[in-house]
Amino acid sequence: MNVAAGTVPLVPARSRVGMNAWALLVPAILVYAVLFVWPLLGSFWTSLTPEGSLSLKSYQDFFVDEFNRSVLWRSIRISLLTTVMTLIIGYPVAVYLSQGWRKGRTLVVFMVIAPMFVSAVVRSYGWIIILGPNGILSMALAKLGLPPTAGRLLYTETGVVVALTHVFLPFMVIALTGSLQQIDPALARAARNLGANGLEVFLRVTFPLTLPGVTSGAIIVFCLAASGFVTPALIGGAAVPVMPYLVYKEGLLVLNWSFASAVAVILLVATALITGVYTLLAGHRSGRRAGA
Amino acid sequence: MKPHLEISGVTKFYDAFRAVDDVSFAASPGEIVALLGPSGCGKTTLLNVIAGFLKIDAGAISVDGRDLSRVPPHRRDMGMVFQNYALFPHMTVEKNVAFGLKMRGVSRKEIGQRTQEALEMVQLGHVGQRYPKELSGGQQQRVALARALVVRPSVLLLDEPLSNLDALLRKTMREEMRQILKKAGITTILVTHDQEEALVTADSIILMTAGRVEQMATPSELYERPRTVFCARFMDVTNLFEGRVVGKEAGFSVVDTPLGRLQAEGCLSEVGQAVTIAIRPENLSVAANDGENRVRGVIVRESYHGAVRRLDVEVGGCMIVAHVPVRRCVKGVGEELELSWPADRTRILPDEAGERSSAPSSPRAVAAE
Repeated sequence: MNVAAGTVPLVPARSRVGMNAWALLVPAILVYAVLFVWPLLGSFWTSLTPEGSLSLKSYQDFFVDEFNRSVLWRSIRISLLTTVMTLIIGYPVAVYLSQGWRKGRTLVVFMVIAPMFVSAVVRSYGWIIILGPNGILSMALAKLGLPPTAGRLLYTETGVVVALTHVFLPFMVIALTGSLQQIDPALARAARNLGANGLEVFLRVTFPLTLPGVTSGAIIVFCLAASGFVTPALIGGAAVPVMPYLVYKEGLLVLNWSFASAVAVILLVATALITGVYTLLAGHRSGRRAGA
Repeated sequence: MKPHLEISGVTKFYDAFRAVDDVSFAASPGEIVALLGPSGCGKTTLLNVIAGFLKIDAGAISVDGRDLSRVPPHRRDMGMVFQNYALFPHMTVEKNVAFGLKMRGVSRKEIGQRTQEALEMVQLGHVGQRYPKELSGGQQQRVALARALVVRPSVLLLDEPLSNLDALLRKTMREEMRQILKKAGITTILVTHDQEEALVTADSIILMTAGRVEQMATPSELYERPRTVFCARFMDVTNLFEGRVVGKEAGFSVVDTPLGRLQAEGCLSEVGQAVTIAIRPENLSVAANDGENRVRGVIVRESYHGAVRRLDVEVGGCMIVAHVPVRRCVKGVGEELELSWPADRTRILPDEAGERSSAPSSPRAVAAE
């Protein structure tokens, strides 16, 4: 190829891509606007017009009733617990996976991702068999001499947390593995060399450096757990009502659409607030690191 | 002097591959030893073995007579500077340097004082509050050195410490580093693939290949008296010729080579022995009588290298390379000239395969070609 033909168009080509880069986003923006923003604005509008005119009655109804407030707190509590559980269980798995040379790594990756291959309904029924009154867990615990009620986690908050942890573990593991793999292995060696034992290396070097991964994993799992419907509905049912269950009940059974919309908006705002505050705190830390 | 660090018969396998093969050497207190060799020669593996990051398969590592082979890395009391410095990115420079002291349970007041001293030693007293990524490569290198030295380790290990710096900075840093190390009086093992860095920085050099020690010598000895063809090649001896010892004359051996009959020195002097002759390009002179050995040839190529001019001269079908001071040579390509050099600058080395002395066409020698 001749030199002029090869090199001259490079600069204009670059700026052309720059000017038209927004065009690349058009399909995504269209889908996002039609399927997400528009219905969301619709729900918001519905929640503000309970009887055809603007009013905050639906919100007032929600917060006045102690039952509704307890559902909100339960949703937040279950989501936080699920996040913490996926972090505790997922971190060691991520450490294992981030060491690429391990034998059997592929098998572990498959096992971690496997829950995502199965439909939420099928997976939940699996848990019902395990957690139910005469389920595998109760029977196993009974064999160990524990009271027969010990393993009955169906229709309890604990059961919901267990099932949600199972579903969302892959997201946490993937986020953590990514950030662990980015850590230079020489850093752990340097810390060892300077006199740190295995625990000190983890607490002072490895863990602090995975905080960005912990943050993204935690936000993903928290949001998914807070908005999850199928798993809490099947495992917890009416005994463990969560916000999405309330939306379903009010919207499709009671047909109080304005109230259902208000519940949805409250859940959205609560989730956004919690992740926002968390991100600010985490960002503040890394901001201090980058600044000065 | 009693050895401070002693490595005896250390062997390390990666599966079936012998990465370090029966290496033994000793370093006296305060000595700077360079492990020099091409990549893959086992020098970095040996350093990691000394630091305790890799378990050895045979042999022993001891400091002051205490066997450390089974001691975990964090209790070996060795400082290390990594090739990419491995500074903790989430800690300030000061916290990086203080890390080792903190792990040793030193009091807070003493940590502050010693950290500041260490940073001042490397002339970085003013950057304590910054983060590593805000420093230049040379500054990061010095922080890594301060972090390793502040704990006053018994042995300092340096893994290619200057390889990430640009050429100019590398030259100043290696002298600065030698000064700092000598001032601290610390026994140091320096891994490098750069022969010049080893020559300038180290007190003694261990040249390694294929996991083994090829030669251990002082810088000048290694440079002037390489013991094998591999050493000679690695130390930039470009002129290597096969020859055969034919006799003795005035204290030197007489060797028949494709260049003609040369006088040379070296421990192999048995008549009839097949040997390799090594001549440094800079020992060749364009004056007609600068030594016992003399050849006539034609310049086929020349290139300018700043301080010297490189001449590729054809002598009887062989190429010989000479580095001559730029002003000394006025001849150009195609012209004939005479080269001369002293017999004591003509080294006799064992033939490449090492054991070809009696049978020039043995299978091993063929394989080595």
